[in-house]
Amino acid sequence: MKRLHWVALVTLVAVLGLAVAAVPAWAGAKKAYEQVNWNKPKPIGERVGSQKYILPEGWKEAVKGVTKIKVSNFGALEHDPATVQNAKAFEQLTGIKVELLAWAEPPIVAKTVSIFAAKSASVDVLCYDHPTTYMQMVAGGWLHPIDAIWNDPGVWKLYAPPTKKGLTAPDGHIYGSIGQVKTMMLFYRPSVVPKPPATWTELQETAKKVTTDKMWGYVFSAGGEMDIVYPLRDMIYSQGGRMVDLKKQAIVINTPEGKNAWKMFAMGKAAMVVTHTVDANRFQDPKKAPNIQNDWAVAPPPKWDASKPEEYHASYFDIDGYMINKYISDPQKAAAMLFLDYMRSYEAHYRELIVEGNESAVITVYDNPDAKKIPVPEARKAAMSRAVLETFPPAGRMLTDLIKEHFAYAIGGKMTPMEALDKAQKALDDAAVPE
Amino acid sequence: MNARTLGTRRFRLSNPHYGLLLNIPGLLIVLLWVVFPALLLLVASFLLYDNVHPVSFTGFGNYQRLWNSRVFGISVERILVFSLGSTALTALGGLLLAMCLSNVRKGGGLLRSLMIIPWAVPAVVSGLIWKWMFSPDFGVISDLLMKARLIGKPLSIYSDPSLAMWGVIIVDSWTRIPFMGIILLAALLSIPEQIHEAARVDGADTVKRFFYVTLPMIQGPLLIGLMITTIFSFRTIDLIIPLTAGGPGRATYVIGYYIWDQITKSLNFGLGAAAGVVLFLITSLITLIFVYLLREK
Repeated sequence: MKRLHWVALVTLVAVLGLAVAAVPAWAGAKKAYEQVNWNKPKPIGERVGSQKYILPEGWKEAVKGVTKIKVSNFGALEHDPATVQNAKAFEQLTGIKVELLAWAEPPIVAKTVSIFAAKSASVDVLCYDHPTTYMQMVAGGWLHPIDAIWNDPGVWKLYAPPTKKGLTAPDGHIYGSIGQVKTMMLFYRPSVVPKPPATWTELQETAKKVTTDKMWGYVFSAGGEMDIVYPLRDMIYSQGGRMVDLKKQAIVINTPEGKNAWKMFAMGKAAMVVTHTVDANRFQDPKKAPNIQNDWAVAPPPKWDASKPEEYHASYFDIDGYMINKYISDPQKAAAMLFLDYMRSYEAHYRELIVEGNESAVITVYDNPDAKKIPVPEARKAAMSRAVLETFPPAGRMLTDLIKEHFAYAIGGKMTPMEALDKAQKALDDAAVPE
Repeated sequence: MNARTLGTRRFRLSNPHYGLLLNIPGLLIVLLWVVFPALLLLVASFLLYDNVHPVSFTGFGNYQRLWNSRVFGISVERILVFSLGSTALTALGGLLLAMCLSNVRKGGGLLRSLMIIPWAVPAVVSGLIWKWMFSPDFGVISDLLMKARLIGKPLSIYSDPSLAMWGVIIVDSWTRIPFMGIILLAALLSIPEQIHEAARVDGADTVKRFFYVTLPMIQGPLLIGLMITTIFSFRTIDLIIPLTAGGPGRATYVIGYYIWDQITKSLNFGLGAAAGVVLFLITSLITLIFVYLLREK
C-alpha cells in the first residue's frame, strides 16, 4: 500500500471515530427550551401565582442570543394597555424586546393561517380568539407543544375549572396558554325590572311586561362572529344540555334542550341583556352609558326553570391566548415559552383586570383589595366559576355560521322556528368533516 | 459601413432580437406569481387537505362535495345576481357619466380627475364609508330620505336580507363607474363630430343619434369595459366583508366569500382550492364569450 493510501485510511478512521464519539453527545444535547427548569425555584403554580412573577431557573441559558420576539395582537394597541404594560414588564425582567403586532380583526385568523401554512418563522407567538380556533391550529400540526410550562397540578388551581379542558388537545398535549377569559351575565335596570328574573321563563314574561314603544324588554347582539351562538349556548346550558356531541364530534342543536332554546330564542326581542361580563365597565362609564348611570345591576345568567339545579345558572366560557409557532428556532421557542409563562401569571392578569378592565383568568386576582376599583368584581368572579366550556369540532367556526344563517331565516319569517332548527341541524350534519 | 455603425446596430434596444430578452423578467414574475400559484391551486383542488385527515389524493372528491353543497350553490346564485346587477349598474352609470363629461368644455380635466376618486379609494374603505352612510342610526342617507318624507323610518339596508344585495351592488358599482366612465369617455371623444352632424342633417333626434350613431361606435370599448367589470365583480369580497360579512343569513354570500371561509374558517384548503378553480373556469368562460363578441365587432 502506498503511503498516501495509509494516510487517507488513518484520516478516514479518525473522522469516523470522532463522529461516532460525538453522536451520543449530540443526541443527548438538550434543546434550548429544555434547559429551563419550570418547577424551580418554586413549583409552577406558586411561581406564576405569586403577586410578583418569579422567573424559572435556567431561562438565561435557554434564551441566549435572543434579543426580540414578535407577538401578534388582536387589534390596535391603544385599546390594550394591559398587554402593552405586560410586554414592557417582560422586557424589563428578561431583556428580551417584545414587538407587538397590532393586527385588525377580522383578517387576524386569515393572517395566522397564512403564516402557518407558509411554514414561516416571521412571527414567534400568535394569538387565538376561541378554543375552537386554537384546536384548528393544533390540528394543522403548526404549534410547538408546551406541556413543560403546565407540568404542575398546582398551576391549574389558579384558573377557572374549564381552562384545562380548553387547552388540552385531543392528543393529550398542550400547545397554548391563556390570555383572557370571557363569559356572560344578566344585566338589568332596577328602575324597570325591580327583581331580576332567575329563569328564562321568568325572563320571557318580564320582558313582555316591560316592553314599550321606547324600550325593548330583552336584547341580544347579532353582529359578531359568535353573537347568535353565545346566547343560544347559554340557554342550552341552563337546562344542563350541551351543544357538542363528544362521541360524534359534531354540533347538535336539535336535542330537547336545543329545541326549547331555539323556540324561545327565535321569539326575538326582549329590557334586559345577557352579555359579556366586561360590559360592566361600559355601563359604569357616564360617557358611554349616560342614561343608565346608577340604574343597572347584574344577576347570574338565568337557569331554564325553577326545577333545574343552581349550577345551571351557567354561561359559556371562552378563552383566548397565545400559541407558539413550530417553525421558529429553539432559542426563540424558549423565549416564547417564557413570554407565555409570564402572560398567564398573577402579575400579568392583575393588569388585565385592574388596568384594562378585562376578566382575569387567575381567579385569585379578584380577591386583591384593588379589585374593588372595578365594577361588580364578586359577580364577575362567580360568573367565571360556573361557566361551561365547549370546543367545537373541526371547521367549527364555519359550522356556527350555519346556525346563524338559519336563525336569520327563523326571525326573518322565511321559516318557522322549528323548520329552521331542523334545516340547521341537517346543514350541520351535511357540512361536518367526514370521519 | 464602419465599426461604429455596426456597434450601434448591434446594441440597439429596439432590435427585435432583444424583445424576448427584455421580456424575461416580466415572464419570470408571471411564472412565479401567477402560473406557479395557479398550478398549486389546481393540484390542491385534487387533495383531501382539510387539516384533519392526512393530506392525500382524492380525485374529484372536492368537486363532488362542491356539487352537492347547498352553501356553494347559494354562493354561485348570489355571485350571478351580484355580478349581473353590478355590471349593469356600472355600465349605465359609466355611460351617463361619460356622456355628461364629453359635453363639458371648461374644467373638464378637473372633473375627470375628481371622478377617478371612488375608483382610487380601497374597496374596504369604500365599504366602511357606505356602511356608515347607510346606517339606520346615524347614516346620512336615511336622514335625508326621512327629511324628504320619502321613508317613514330609517332604512336598515344591510340588515334586511331582501335589500342587502342591492346595497352591496350600489357600493360596488360606485367604485367601478369611474373606470367604465373613462373607457367610454375616450370612446365618445373619438367619434368624429361630422358623423353626428350628418345624422342631425338627416333629421335624427338625440335618442336616435344615441342608438344609431353613438352606441354602435362605442360598442368595442363598452364590451371591454363590461368584460373587465364582470371579471372583477366575480372576485369581489373586500367590499362585502365590511358591508355585510356575507349576511344577513347568506343574502350576500358570494363565491369569493365561500372560498375565504373554507380557507380561513374551515381550514379546508382542498375544498377552497376546488372552489377557486371553479371560479377561475367561470371567469374564463365569461372572458371567452366577451372575446368572441369583440372579434365579431
